[in-house]
Amino acid sequence: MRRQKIIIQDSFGRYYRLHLWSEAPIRAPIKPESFRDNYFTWYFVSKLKVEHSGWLQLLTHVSESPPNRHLTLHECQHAIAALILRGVIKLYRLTHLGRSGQQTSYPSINIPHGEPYHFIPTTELLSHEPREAIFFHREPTQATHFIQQLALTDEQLAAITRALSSPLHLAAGPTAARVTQIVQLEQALVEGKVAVEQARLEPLKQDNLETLPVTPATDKPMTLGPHEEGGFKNPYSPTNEAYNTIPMSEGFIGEDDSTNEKRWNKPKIVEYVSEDSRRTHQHVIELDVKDGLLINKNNGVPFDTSNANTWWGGGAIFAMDGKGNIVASNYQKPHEFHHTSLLAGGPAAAAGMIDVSNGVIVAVTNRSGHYAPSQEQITQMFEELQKRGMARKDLDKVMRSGYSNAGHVMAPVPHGAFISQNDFDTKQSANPRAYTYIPKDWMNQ
Amino acid sequence: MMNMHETEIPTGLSAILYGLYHVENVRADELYKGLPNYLNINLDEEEKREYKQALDWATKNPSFDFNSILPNLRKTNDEILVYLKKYRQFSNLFSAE
Repeated sequence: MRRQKIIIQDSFGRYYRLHLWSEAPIRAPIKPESFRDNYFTWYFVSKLKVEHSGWLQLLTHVSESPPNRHLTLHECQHAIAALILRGVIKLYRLTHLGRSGQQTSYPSINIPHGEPYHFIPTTELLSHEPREAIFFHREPTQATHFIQQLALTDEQLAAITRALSSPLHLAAGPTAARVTQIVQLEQALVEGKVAVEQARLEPLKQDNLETLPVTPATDKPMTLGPHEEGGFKNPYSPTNEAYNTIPMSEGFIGEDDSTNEKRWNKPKIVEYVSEDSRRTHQHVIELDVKDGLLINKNNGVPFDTSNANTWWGGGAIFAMDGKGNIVASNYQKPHEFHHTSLLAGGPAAAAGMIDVSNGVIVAVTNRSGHYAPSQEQITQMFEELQKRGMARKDLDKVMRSGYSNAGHVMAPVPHGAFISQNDFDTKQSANPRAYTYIPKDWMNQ
Repeated sequence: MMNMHETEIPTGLSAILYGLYHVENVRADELYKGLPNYLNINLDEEEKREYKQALDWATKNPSFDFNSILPNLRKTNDEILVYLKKYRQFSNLFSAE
């Protein structure tokens, strides 16, 4: 069935086209890095005019497994925000619809000994190249201090409020008291509606968007390019990365967001370590293979989990992303540091526990509450290790356990035997007493 | 995930229950022997207090649906109660009392 184009409007009157991961890539999406962080992305999503049922439908559309139908609107918005940050859902601003070309001018504030600043609605930042802007939504006290140190004149304050009044519905004009204007400006900063940017605003980039062959509502369906016409064969698919991946369970989405009142780990937040930060993070170890051993990629030292810091044992937590990057940590702490920390909340091609003695892998499981990966996904990591030079005979000796795909607790079995034992689940079912039974839908909620 | 008890549920409960993802047989005493050392190393006093509150709360609310706290736990409530009892028994959280 041909995919339906999804065009949505935000509360500021702008239109966006949602472009899903499984569709062919085209130029000029709003860059994922423009969304900056979870809170900003959620705020953007929350301003889109989409019903609760609409978000649930979209989640069903883009997920391999149906979403939990009991997700609240807030949880749905967080799930969509997470998918945007991961690039599963991309957005195109449709400037030919809605308020095209009506970019508001935001007055710049000259401050002593510094660059001029202006206050700008955060959603406006999506229309520009990603750049540094100051957000105060995690620092309410600093928002107050920042405004105080600007010592805005009445004229400057009125000009700022006027510029923001339309998109943010602020009280403006001669009837608005100075204190009211300051309070609502502070509130807009703290709520993440407004950010502060150096006033070097470049003209809105319209090049790619404006030249896209988009036809407004006519008999002909709206299209962003020839790839959306019938018969187009998508060269990409959700599995265009090296390995199949699985997202974290929905119940954990938003665990890194201190503003998410419904996160499972409140009042803590889970630390997410970005790909760029892995190298220097105290708990994260990027893994590679050298001379047949599993090593720390950054210093060449054989990896060892004998000092892993978990009471239930099993070694270190590990995760592999869709590109085959393998990351591990001897540290794990409920509420704060999990498998999702290793991939910054992104999807996993494999995840679980790994027991390593001086570079020699002893055992691997698929035990991960956040990802609940299949055994096939663990096999993907073995494939990656073999690609990197680990000997097949050594890999075959690694003991595998965890959960079978049918949901049984799996007795330890060497990797070699596991691979040749394709009817593993059938055999276990024939002797159910030997295993603890777990319902077959344990991974599907 | 939460239910009507949400406002009453101690914050440490989900952290304690998270261990169930890594526990096959909740009745195996051997499993819990490393718990005191782990708690000493990783928990500050405030967190220990939260864990104690959570275990006390669980003791008083055995009929609570503990599966509602985290997704995919897939242990029966009886198994979870055994786990919590062992956790309380083997941890050193109450040793000073």
